[in-house]
Amino acid sequence: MVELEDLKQWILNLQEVYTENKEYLTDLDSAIGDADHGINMARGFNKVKEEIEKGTFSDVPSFFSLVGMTLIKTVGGASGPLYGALFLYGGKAVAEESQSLSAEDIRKIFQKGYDRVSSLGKSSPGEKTMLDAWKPALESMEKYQDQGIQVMLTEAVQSAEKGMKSTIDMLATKGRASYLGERSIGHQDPGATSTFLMLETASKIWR
Amino acid sequence: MLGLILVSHSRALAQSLRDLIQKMVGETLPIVACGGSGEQKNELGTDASEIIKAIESLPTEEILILGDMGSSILSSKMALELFMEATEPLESDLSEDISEEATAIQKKTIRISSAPLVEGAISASLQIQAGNGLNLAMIEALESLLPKQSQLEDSNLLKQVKQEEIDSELSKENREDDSNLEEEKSQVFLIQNPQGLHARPAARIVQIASSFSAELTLENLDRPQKRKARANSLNQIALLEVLKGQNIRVRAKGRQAQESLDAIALEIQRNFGEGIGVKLKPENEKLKNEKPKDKKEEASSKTILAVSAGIAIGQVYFVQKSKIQVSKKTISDPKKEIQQFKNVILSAQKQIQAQIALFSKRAESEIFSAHLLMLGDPELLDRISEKIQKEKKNSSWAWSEEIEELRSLYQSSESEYLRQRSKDIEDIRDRVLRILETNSSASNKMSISKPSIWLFEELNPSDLADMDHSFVLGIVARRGSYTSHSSILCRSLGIPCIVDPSLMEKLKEENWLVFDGETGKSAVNPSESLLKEWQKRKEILKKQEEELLSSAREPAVSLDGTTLAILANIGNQRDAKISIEQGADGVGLFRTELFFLDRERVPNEEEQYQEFSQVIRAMQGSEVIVRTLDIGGDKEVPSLGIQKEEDPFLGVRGIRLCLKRKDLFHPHLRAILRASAESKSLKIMIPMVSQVQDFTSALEEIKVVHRELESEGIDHLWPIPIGMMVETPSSVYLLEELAEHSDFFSIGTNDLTQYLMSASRVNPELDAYQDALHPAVLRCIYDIVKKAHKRDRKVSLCGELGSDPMALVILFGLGVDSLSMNPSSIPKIKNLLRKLEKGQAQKLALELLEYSSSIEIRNKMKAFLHHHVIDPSS
Repeated sequence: MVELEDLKQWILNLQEVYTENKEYLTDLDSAIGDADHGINMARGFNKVKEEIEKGTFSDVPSFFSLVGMTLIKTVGGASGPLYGALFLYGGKAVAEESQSLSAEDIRKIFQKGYDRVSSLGKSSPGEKTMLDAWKPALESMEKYQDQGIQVMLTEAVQSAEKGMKSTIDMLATKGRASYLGERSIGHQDPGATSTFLMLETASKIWR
Repeated sequence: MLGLILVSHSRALAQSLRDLIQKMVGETLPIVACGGSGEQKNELGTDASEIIKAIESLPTEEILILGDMGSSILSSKMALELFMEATEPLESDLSEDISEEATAIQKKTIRISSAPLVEGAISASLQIQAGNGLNLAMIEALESLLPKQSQLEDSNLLKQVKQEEIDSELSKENREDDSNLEEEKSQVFLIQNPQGLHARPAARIVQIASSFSAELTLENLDRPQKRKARANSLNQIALLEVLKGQNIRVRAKGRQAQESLDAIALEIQRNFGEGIGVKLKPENEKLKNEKPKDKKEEASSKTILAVSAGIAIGQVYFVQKSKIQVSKKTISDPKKEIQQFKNVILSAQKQIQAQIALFSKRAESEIFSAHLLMLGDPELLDRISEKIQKEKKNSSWAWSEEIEELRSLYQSSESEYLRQRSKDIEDIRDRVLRILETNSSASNKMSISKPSIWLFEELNPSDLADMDHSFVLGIVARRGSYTSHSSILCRSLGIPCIVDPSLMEKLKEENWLVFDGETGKSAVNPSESLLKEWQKRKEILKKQEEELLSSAREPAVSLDGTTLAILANIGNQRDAKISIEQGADGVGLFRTELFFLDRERVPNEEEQYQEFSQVIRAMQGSEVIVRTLDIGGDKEVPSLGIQKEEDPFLGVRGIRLCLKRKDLFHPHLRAILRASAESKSLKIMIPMVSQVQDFTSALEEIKVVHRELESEGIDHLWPIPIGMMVETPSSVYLLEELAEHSDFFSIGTNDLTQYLMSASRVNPELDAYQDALHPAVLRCIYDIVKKAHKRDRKVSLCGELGSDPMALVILFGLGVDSLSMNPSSIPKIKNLLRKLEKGQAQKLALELLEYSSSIEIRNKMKAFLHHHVIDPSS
């Protein structure tokens, strides 16, 4: 089971991960985007960390909603509303006042968040976006959710990584990268990368 | 009313744009600027939570959101979703389908527009300024690049480049498949899927198009400029911007034309797999639907439509608008033809510009500005040039063909407004054709030797601009509508006009005709005596109108030099503007509850504050008496969850409710006091006071709010005069004590009458008991005035009684200090007061107090007005 404390640790770790990878993500973004993804994510999660440490949440949905709203307010670029939607709506997939999560709950949260991100961005996998990492990860989660959180997440991270790498050969049709047309091919999508990092961090903490 | 939200990655950009608009268009427009990210909002980015706050802060029921790009679109969509969920908690799970269509929440209709930020915002603001709503503002915003494009002509260049690409591809295809000489097939479809033809369905169409041996084109029939797209170009389909509920026409040519159409039909029928049922609309059915559904405003063969007030007397003149015959001719030099055509368009534009100058009032000249825009539409002109070039045909024919297509588009629109615009298209069509065919750029002045009543089959705006108005006594048309542009122009020019098909049947050349544009009454070849009557009536009306207009804004001073303040009863900013136009000396009753009645949610303090300050600003510094919430009674407010009462008029209403519901009263008072900072002459008035404690408790509440605002450092007017309505019999008996606390009194005659006469005013069987000119009511009013004046308190009166000319004389005589009424009655009442003399009115009023029935009083008053002043019926 993943407890509230594990969720908190995940976010605190993510703040470090995104701070460490700030330049890496920004470099990826400078090839095909606004060169701000790393900066934006680091800024967002710094603020999320602050908020989480204030501890104004009492259950899983309020935790996710706090993270989501903070990202919406502070990230700035398109990843603000997108990751914001992922958390904000994802948290609504489980019962109110839930204190811990099963493997299936975790999948449901990401699935619901994924659906909202997809509809908000009017996008689907294959368009060189974070969805290309989420989609295979979610498929793995569904397949392995009966084998426990650890197995499920390990499989999901592997799939997310494959998905992330598959964006290298894709043509961007959404977001800033789409302005580049054919020239967007050959670069890994920063959004898919930050998603991979998000899942990878979870798999290291949630057991 | 429509509000605007501007979203930019840069806070400075959004704010500067707002400033720019407020300077260019209007300071008071409801615009909120959002932008920037991070805690200080100094990072580039957008923030959905800020947009939600903007939505909540705008008091308007419609909102248009314009943004720059990227995350501004995502944040706006997100804000809309979150706002929706917050306000409709019961249906919070909207994750299945987020429609981008207009989202009506709590009567707020919000749209996000793809219009260019700067141009779009300015165009939309102009629409707000003109009092237009969301739909028009959105169309204008979306088309806001047209003027710039036509000036710089770069869109033509773009099109040229694109066309060359398309042509080269097409010719390639033609070489590959030479067999597409088959007959073209076409079908119209209604697109029902929630997001319209967005990327996925468009991609599906491209797939289908490429799997059949047929050449397919798509056309969006619901855009004014029908763009066409080849079905194998994803971009072109997307640029059609087909939204849910719009119609597309699919044309197919080639060996598998029918098969490909069938395949597309199937795809559309199953909604591209996106759910929700679908309607197939075959071509012929479409034709059936082209007739306007809503014909309420158009005169049928029997009805008479009184379009523009005034009496017309004169001989009739049949306006022969020679139908311009257009024949199809083959020409040898298309280049020359196109050049000539362009010159003709230029002359037509010059004509229109001259007419714009003719109509000084903004709203009317805009009708012709719209014509100018339509004429300057580069798409249209390109299509015509192309037609001339390709088919080697004369420009008149090409013009008629293209314009007819445009006209039928408007004609078949679901919206009454757009259907009426097809008349404007006809007007432009004829204007250009006249120049083309008569080869003269002289305006279409109609020749006539003496002033007459002009008879039209149908009136166009340009007819009104072209005619010499000194020769027009009136206009009768066979067809027309009250809302058409020509009707609007008639009213603004003061030309009497009716639409009367049966009268048109009867009339013959040389006939004499009289008609009344206000009632629609008419007489053909009237007798000598009848004619005299009409003439007399016309003179009276003319004189009255002149007097009214010239003096509306002057104070109302009686013959002996006594001034009576004539104030307006208003409920919103619009009323406030009208009351200024009508010459109100101030507002005697601002009904704050109107802002509560039509909404499902109680407006919060900020919304109330915005609304109240707008009203106060609109009154330009003159006195405004704000009445605190008067709800309950006949004014139910659904959002308050107040239980229905057995006897609502005797129940918890007015101040009784407010004192029970501090959660409501407190923010309401805060909003009023905050808004008072806008004015130096604001007063507060408490309704439904029936005991001294009602008033003192209300006073206490106001003081609490004042101290609160003071400690928060919020600017407001203090001390502020606070008075009360006198509408309960008990308050009349308590008036001396009440005068200790109340700064002024205002008599609410509607309620006072019903309470005094003990007759419910909502029961039609008791109408006879509701006459406020009853001696019981008049004696009561006299008592109030005497008691109040003894204590040095002024007395106003704000019921319907105030606008009754008979009542004016009596109330003036009884010593009432000011009257507040429906704004439209103000010029009439002011004018009447100027003919009165205080002593005479006093004598009459005191005499009337001795009468025992309202019928006697009315008879006496009728005689008085007839002898001393004017025709009492007016």
